Amino acid sequence: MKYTRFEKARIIGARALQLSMGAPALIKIPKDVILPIDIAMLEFKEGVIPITVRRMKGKERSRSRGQL
Amino acid sequence: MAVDTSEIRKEIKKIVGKKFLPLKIIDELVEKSVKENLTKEQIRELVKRTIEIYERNLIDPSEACGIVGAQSIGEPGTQMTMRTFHYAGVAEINVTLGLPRLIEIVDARSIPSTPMMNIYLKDKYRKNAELAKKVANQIELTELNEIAEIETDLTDLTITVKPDKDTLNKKGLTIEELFEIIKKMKKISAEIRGDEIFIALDEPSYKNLLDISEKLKLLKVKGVEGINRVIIRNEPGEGYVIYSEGSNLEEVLKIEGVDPYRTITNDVQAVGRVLGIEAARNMIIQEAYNTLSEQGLNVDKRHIMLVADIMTVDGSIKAIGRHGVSGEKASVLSRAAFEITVNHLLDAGRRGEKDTLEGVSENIIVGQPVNLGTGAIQLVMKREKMKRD
Repeated sequence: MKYTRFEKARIIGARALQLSMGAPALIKIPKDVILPIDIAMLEFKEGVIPITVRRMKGKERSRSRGQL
Repeated sequence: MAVDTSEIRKEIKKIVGKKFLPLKIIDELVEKSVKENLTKEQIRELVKRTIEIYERNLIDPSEACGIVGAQSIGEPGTQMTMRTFHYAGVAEINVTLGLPRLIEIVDARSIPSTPMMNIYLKDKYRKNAELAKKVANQIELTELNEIAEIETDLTDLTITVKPDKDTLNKKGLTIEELFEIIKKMKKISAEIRGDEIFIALDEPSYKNLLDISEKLKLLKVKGVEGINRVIIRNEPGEGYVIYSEGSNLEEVLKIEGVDPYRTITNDVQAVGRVLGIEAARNMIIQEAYNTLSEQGLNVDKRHIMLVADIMTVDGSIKAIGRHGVSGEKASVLSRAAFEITVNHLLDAGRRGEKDTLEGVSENIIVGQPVNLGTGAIQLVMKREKMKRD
């Protein structure tokens, strides 16, 4: 599946948060890569992040949020 | 040639296959391939690259296209001259342009401040000065006092209409025709005496005399209501074109010799009424785009198309702003964020309205992520990856 730039940003962001809270990296990371975001981007490039998106359309999409 | 294009069209459709290209682009591809006499191999490559470029230019889902559009029209809008009066082309017709015109389009006014029409003629008429003139005469509104002198006789309480022969000829009218028109008026009896038309009142009185003579002056003898002035110009490559000050699409289209397919007016509401909502949408796009580019502002057409789409989605032309789009939003919070907050909230409370929090401003108000861009994406775990570990 090809991700849109929003989906890509969201996945990398979520993974970077996990990494920053101490999750182990899923691939071998070069010594000089330290920032969680950089690690997440490397992982994304490799396609090892176990996260994907749920695509919804129409009603389902707008109902995915809380209502007043 | 016609057989050729259908063959190529089929070929192109086959190459496009499961992917998608808009009809208009396919048309263009067909036209180009025929014109350049491309081989099958070349067509394949052309279509492939077109699809590639088309897909690259597609906007991502959940992109904030409305906001981008608003900014892209709004910013150049600040550069526009506040008040410009411009004379269109060589013809001495005054047309509102620039910011006032843009506001007019977006407000969906029922009558533009300077209505005008470009009336194109059918083949037979547009090459012939005589015929074009004839059509123009049928369009331009002529009142009786423009072609005749109206004299009132206070002692006999009668009115005499003395038409000027030259102007009568110029307008292509005869005194008999004039008489027929005058005869239709109420409370009078008329008769022709030589070159004049003599009018006697049914109920003679000074007041009636005055009333009738005033009515006579403004009597419409020829032409279309609302069209005050026409100019005929000989355009190179086209022939005679009639430009008019004032607009009345309904009536002008009925006149013989007018080409209904090309004749245009700058009255968007009239286009919507006569030609339908799709025509009105195209009209809004074209008018807005032309006003902007006339001022040297290059706004991408797609931003304007979005505005036109929003204005015409429900089949009627709605204005952007209080009385249209913004005022009719389904969400209470969104309306409250726009104007007169307290009233909207009060009314909604009284009616027991529900807000489904689908829009942007509602979500900002309640403090949750907006349904746009990264905020619109729901993450899930990849199950199969988990099992493998």
